[in-house]
Amino acid sequence: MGLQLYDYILSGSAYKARLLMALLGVDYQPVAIDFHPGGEHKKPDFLAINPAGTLPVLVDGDLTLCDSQAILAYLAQKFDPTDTWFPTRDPGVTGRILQWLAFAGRLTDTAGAARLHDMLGRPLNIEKARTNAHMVLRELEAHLTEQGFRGDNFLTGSNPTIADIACFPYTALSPDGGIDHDDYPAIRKWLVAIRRLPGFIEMPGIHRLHDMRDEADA
Amino acid sequence: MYGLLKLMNAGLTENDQGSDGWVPVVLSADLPVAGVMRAQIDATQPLDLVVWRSRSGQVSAFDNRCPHRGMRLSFGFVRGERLSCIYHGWQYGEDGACRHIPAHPDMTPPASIGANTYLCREYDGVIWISQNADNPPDLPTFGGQGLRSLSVNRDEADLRKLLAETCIPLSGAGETAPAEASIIAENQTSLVLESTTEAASLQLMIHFQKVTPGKTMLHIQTNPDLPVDLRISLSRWAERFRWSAENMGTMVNSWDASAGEMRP
Ligand SMILES: N[C@@H](CCC(=O)N[C@@H](CS)C(=O)NCC(=O)O)C(=O)O
Ligand code: FES
Repeated sequence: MGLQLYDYILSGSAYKARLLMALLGVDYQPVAIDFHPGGEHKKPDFLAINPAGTLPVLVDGDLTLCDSQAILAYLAQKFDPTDTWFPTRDPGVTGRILQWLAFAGRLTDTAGAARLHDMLGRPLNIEKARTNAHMVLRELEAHLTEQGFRGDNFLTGSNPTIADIACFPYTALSPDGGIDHDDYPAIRKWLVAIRRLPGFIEMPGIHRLHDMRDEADA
Repeated sequence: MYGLLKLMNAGLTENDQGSDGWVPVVLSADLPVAGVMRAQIDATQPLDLVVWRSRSGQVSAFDNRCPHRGMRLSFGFVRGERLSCIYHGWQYGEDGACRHIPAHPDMTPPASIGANTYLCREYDGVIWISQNADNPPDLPTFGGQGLRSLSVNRDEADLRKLLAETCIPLSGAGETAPAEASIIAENQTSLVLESTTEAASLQLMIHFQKVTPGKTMLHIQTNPDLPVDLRISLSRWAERFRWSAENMGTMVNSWDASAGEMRP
């Protein structure tokens, strides 16, 4: 049996795994979880798979991975023969990629939480979540600004890595939680660079670039 | 020594901009071809705009409301020389006129349907908006290079005062201490900050966009051709400047220019 991804279409975290698998051309079998309104991810059958009750979960034979960042690292190591999505030869590069994977968790906790509040009515101190999300986005903007000076379009260099994939969804989706991109020109350019990658796929709220579409489905 | 900016033609002038004036909304390099963005301007009548650049490079600004059902046009995308609304795909030319309605592909849209437009000019590396000014923004041709835009939760007037007291780095990677800078030219929209030592001279041109009450966007340009490490230092200076500006307590009227902690 091949890969199985416990998935929910509106989940930005699950989309990280879907996006990387699309970019790497990896096949998998999706298992749809009724996150909303069913709350299936918080019920015993799913908790037996992931006690944390979060999506996504990747199952590959005996291996079960319950964290989207870990899933990205695993997929890249296993399926990227070019070793560009998660290069591990240079300790400095590896360290920086891991740092951005951790940063992605802060995006989920701030911008992702604000989105759950606005879209699904999750109780939350929304003003605080938005303020914190802007602080996180300011960090990202400052870094991407410097990358731009260096001529690098992505978080850790001139090629995209799993760091970019991890940070992409909740940054791109932040307007769904009332956190606009008006203040962040470097982030806007980086989002376009990712959407321009060959093999890029969409999710609700994140569209393909118009010029990457067929004229027919315009 | 970096190339000096071309400030010779009389510097900035104190012209009456008022509501007729030009407002900077983005550095040219930050609105690429087919780019679409939202810009807010705090004026007597607050503005919420979409600013976009066509395939051929033309920049335009409209009210950020689709005439069809009011969707934000800043969620839309550029198709050639038109801006297309993300909702039902109505397309608008650079003059705001509706050119195409997908639900009625054979119909020429009536001339009465159009987005509300603003004057939009690209001038010396910055994109400016105006409601009714005829002349280009009254600034010297500076020939600067865009550094970055920075949103600061502070009023423009406070920021101008703080900038008068700042020190800016003249070298990359902290090789030398930041040097005192002074404002050598200033007008309604912009100011030029200069710091000169024997080794180097650096100028920052800062354009102010009032975004919403208490929030200002700084669009920062520098001398051309600065080395990468200096540009990085200047970007970090901008972060520190913002920190100081946002964390100053009670400075609005009783601001003390000698307050030491202002120095980044
Ligand atoms: N650390 C986890 C967090 C993922 C996460 O928060 N997923 C959301 C969906 S996007 C979730 O399942 N949240 C549970 C809930 O809010 O009920 C990961 O990165 O995979
Ligand atoms: S709201 Fe813009 S096309 Fe319908």
